[in-house]
Amino acid sequence: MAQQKPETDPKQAKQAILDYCARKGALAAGVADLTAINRIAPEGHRPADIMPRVKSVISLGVGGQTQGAWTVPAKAMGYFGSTETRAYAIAYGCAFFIESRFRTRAVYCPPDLDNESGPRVPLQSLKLHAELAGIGARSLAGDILLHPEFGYMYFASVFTELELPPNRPMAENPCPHSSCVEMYRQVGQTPCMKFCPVQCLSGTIDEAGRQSEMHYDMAKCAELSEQYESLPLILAEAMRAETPEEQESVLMDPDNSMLWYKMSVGSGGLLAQCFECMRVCPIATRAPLADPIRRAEAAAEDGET
Amino acid sequence: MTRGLGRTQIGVTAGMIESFGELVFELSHNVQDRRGDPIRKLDFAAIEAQRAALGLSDREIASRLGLTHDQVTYIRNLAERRHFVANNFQRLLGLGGNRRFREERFVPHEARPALSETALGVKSAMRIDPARTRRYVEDGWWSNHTLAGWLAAHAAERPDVTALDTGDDRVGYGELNRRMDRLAAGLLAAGLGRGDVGRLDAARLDADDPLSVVVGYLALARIGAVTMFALPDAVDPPWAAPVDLKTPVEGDPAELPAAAMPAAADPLYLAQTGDHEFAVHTGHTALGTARATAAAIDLGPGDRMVVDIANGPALLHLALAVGTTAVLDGGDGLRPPLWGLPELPIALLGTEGGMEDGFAGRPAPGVEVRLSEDRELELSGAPLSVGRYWNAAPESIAEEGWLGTGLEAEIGDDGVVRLTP
Repeated sequence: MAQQKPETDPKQAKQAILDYCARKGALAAGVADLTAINRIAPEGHRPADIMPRVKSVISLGVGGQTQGAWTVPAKAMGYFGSTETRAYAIAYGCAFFIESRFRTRAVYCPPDLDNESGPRVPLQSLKLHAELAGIGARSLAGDILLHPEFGYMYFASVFTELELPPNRPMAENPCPHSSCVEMYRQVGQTPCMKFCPVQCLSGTIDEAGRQSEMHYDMAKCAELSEQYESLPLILAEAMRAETPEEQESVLMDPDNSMLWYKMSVGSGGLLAQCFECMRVCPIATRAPLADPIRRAEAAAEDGET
Repeated sequence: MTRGLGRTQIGVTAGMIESFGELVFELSHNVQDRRGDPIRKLDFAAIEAQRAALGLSDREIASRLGLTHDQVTYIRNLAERRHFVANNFQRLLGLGGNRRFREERFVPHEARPALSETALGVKSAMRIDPARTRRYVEDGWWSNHTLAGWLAAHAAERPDVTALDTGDDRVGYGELNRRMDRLAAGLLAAGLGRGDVGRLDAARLDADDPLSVVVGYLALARIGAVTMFALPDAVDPPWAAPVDLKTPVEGDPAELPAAAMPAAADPLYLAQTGDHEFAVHTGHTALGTARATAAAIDLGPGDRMVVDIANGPALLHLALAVGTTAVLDGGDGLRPPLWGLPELPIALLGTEGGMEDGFAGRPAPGVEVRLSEDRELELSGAPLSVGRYWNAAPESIAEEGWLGTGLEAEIGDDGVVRLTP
């Protein structure tokens, strides 16, 4: 005979889940309003498209790389700058925690691309989940989410049939930072706009120093961050080559040979970001708890007081 | 294919891709515009009003344009591939640390110059046996010597030592380095680039101004261009750009890009060997043995050596290799007995008493000699030209690495080569 599920208090369950995430290393976690997600996300990309009886979406964020990482060359940063796998590991464990503690189905939300849509469409928008869960707000840097204390985070989501009370989105948006507003007033660009290698960002800031318009040329950004998209082009160029020398050059030159290495190891340099907008972002790099050094210093201060 | 279906099954044609491609691309999330902060504020009216600007899903685009979902997915993906500039990833190289991207300073990769047809022709004329390459590198003859590198070092270490003496004018190494850079910047601005060939007309128009010829040669070398040293009555080849030394246009050395630095393995100068034929010399062949040769003739800093630039740059190289003074007007200075050919300008270093009944000398550093069955002197070695350009087939300048001189000779037990008069 199947055991009956224990009675679950939604608030207590939520707290237990958020505590679990924090214990495992998440800097922030919250519950997104499922109704709001369903109103905003397009059909085919809503939580129920992954988990038919989903009742709650939990979003969690982990910190980015160490403070030292911001000083390395871009070509190295591409390999190790992102820390999303830590977020995924926590979300994976969280789903097991929910099922074992509350005997209710839960699933780690795959952060991957939609097989039916090509290489630029994700199954779900983890960004939307995180924003609605109140752990990040859209920035002028192509809507990358920023947090006033933790700066720049990587997000993961958990879906569950457990009903949990949702959080609200953040009351204030930390972007643009006051120093960015000052620069914008002088040169018409924020640092993220000015230093983007493909100039994919632009926008305006209103009189009150808040975001007015954000323009993001995602296709240009993809040229820096989705290098795997080069591969079909390279093969096509090789097939068009008129001489063996041209063909050899296309397939075996250093740049293109590197792509096969990156593919074989699933390298972040092939899949991830270029980081140049975040490297110059004062919130990403200098938020009070943005990196391990700052967090350790804050913890030490807390200990003293 | 989209979801396993091909074009004919989805019903997409090339014409449809052309007609709808850009529109689908722009309506999709590839281009995103947001006004205000509507999602954070849960302003659903604003979200709906901006839905297309924020980027529509394929299903939404299909509904808006009257296409099927599969057609939109197919067309969007092709449009994305067509937009994709693979080279842009390389913009990241060189960034990081304190180095930020600066649009105003950046030249897109596709806009950067390629070698000209002439430059590629000269390079294609180079045929170097891999075994020779290995030997000369291992022996230390072929390394990274460049004229620009020598000049920069001398300018730093002995800026006031006279580099060039024309009798009327003396130019120190510091000043020579600056003149070289200014003219190099001017040549670059005028459109000459790496591998291009410049014609100095050394033996004709500017025989009375050897200083300008030397500076012109150094400036061409500084930007990786190739200098053509023509015979006095030579026909001007169409691929060589005349360099005006009478009224040279100088530029700002700060404008010289790092990419313009020459490479020792690239062509440095062409020495005319026939009506339509030039021997190709690289930094390796022209400069690699210069210091050893200078040492062999006891040429050192503080010396003066007579250099007739109209006969080619080989003697100039000896002077610049050790940072001594090149006397350009035929005044007082060392006049070492040397023998060579345009393909190998300093092959033999003269020995005493050898000039009375024909030249006699020992092989210069890096040079190898032998006699054919017909007692013809044959030359090989690190300073030997690496190819013939223009009217010659792109094959090695010398069969199996040996150049026939057409001269009878004998080689004594003491190693001295005696050319038969």
